[in-house]
Amino acid sequence: MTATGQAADTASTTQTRLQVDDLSVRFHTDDGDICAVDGLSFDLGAREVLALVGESGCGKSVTATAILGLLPDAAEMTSGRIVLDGTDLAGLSRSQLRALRGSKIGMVFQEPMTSLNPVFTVGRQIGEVLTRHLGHRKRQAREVAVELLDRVGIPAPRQRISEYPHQLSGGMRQRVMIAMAIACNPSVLIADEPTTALDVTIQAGILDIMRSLRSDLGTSIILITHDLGVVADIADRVVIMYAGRKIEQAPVEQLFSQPQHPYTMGLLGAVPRPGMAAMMHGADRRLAEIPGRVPVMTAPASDCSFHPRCPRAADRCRSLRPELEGRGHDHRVACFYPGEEGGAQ
Amino acid sequence: MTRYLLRRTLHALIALFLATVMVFIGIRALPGDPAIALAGEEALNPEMIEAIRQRYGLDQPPPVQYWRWIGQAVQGDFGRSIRTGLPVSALIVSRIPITIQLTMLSLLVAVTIGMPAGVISAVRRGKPADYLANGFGLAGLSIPNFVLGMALIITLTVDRNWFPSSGYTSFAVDPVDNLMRMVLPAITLGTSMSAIIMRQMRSSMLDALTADYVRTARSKGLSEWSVIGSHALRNSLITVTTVIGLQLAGLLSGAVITEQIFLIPGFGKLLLDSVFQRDYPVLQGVVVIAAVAYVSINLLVDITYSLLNPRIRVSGTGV
Ligand SMILES: Nc1ncnc2c1ncn2[C@@H]1O[C@H](COP(=O)(O)OP(=O)(O)OP(=O)(O)O)[C@@H](O)[C@H]1O
Ligand code: SF4
Ligand SMILES: [Mg+2]
Repeated sequence: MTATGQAADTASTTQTRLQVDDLSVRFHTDDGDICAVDGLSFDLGAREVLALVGESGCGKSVTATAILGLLPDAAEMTSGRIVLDGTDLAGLSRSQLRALRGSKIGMVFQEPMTSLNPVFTVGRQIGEVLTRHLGHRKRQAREVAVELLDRVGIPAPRQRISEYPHQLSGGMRQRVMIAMAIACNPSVLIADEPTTALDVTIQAGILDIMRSLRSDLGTSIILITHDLGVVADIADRVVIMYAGRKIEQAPVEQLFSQPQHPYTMGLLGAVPRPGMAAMMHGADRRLAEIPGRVPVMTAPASDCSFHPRCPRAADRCRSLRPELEGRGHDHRVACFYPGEEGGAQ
Repeated sequence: MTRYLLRRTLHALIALFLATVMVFIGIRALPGDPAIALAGEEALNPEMIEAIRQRYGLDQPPPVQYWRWIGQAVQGDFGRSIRTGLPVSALIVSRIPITIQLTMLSLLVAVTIGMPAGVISAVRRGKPADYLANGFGLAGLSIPNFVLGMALIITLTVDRNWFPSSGYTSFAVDPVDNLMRMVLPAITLGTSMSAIIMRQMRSSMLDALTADYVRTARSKGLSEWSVIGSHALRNSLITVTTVIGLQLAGLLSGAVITEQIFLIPGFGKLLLDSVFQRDYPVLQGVVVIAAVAYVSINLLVDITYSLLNPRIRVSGTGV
């Protein structure tokens, strides 16, 4: 375990499993650079479920793909360290990285419709992970794949196993993705919107699977979601992102009861005022709409990127960038006027 | 799947029927009276021409003529050559294996060069290997068959004697000589197709390599070999086989010229000779057989395509 400043963020968890330190990702496009992620740091403890929340385009998926080292060619990781169980992934060879992917780190991608290979059966695509990492033989892999499909709640798994992705609904494909990601009992599972296409019952089943992975195998989970009901249901801690930066981080109860950042308050669908705790138990609650849009960052922010949409924006917010500061136990926020009453105005 | 096959076969038969009608009409639309050509130059008196008309049924209304002709054709009887008097079907049968051999060898050349070159240039995009492959692709596409053929003949047979110059030996008589004589024609005919395959392979591979499912394959920790050689390649093959299929038919027409350059007595040469000699029965038969070949190749390609693409194979509907 490495001791850095970030370790202080996770005082509540004893063991850091995954550490993301000062991650910045740029896309080089024809219209210039885009700073998709800017100086993002967080820790993921053992058996912890960390929710990554923010509006569309704030850099959640890019963060996830960067952790796996699978950024597209157009993207460049301009800074950052990814440390898994004390090992800096940058120091690993390609084949060592491959040995981790799919076995120690499982990933559920956001796009269920296109993330499965159209020309291979579901069984083969799940079986592949098992043969690759666990050395299963074909037949054995197939049996395990059937069990996995059953586990993620796919009816008639024995039949489905020999079907092709186009024969499955979006929700089923999503569950196939999940089955693939958990096939080798990963110690870190990154799930990017794993339950969006699913109805409430199936969704509850998937969350149960995650819970049991955590309790039975000690799996740590990064859960990317728009669904505050899911966050309330399963997350231990929440990281709120805005325009590629972390703007708030807190244990889940704390975040719902005492959100500090005006953006977080907006997401929770409330004007900055007490009584947030009630939000926690609204089942299937989506992020509230905040007027305005997430800016596309062409350069690292030099101000508070939220200021055009912030009801509290002051001169300071337009010229200076607020840095993360502690607000109570394991609660950090990047805002000049945080909290219910707008901080110490 | 069976329903799909039946439907494709039906389509093929319809296409073939239309092709024979067009051949029939087309040949009758050629300048010159077939009866006069049939009679030869010396027979210019009207009675004789009339006699020939009757003998060949040319006095009947066209639909009747067509029906008789097709009725005999399906039994393998295309009449006799005006020039040699040999049965057209026998002529064709003797020439077809030669052209098939040439086409298959060209296809082999095209595929063994085009596919790996396309994969490599996609995987090494922007690297020297990619530029090399692209340069080759451009050259292969822009050099006409006959120019390449002549160049090969001049440099490798006339100047250097590495290969026997034009002419043909049957495989049954002397396999080695046969193959030696086929190498240059096969390269001539296969080069442009290899360039087409390479370009198609490259662009399909580039698409596949940025596809979400390839990212998924990587996230599973699969080796690059299986990510590229299995996940990406298998998808790319769907479009590449279609292109190969479309080009296969093109190879047949390329064979006409190539056979002419290398003096290979194949099907293509038979076709050109029959045109020059106004040997109508031969021409007619050759064109029909070419149409049959064309349609059945396309049918085969369709079947292969559907075998590779589960979206068609399983649901039985086209995409
Ligand atoms: N392939 C790409 N090319 C250029 N820019 C990209 C690319 N992918 C992502 N980006 C940029 O990175 C930013 C973050 O994208 P990301 O996909 O991480 O958002 P997200 O938080 O996952 O959103 P969503 O909730 O919609 O999934 C986007 O605003 C976009 O501008
Ligand atoms: S720093 Fe200023 S603009 Fe930014 S969120 Fe806080 S109050 Fe709003
Ligand atoms: Mg996303």
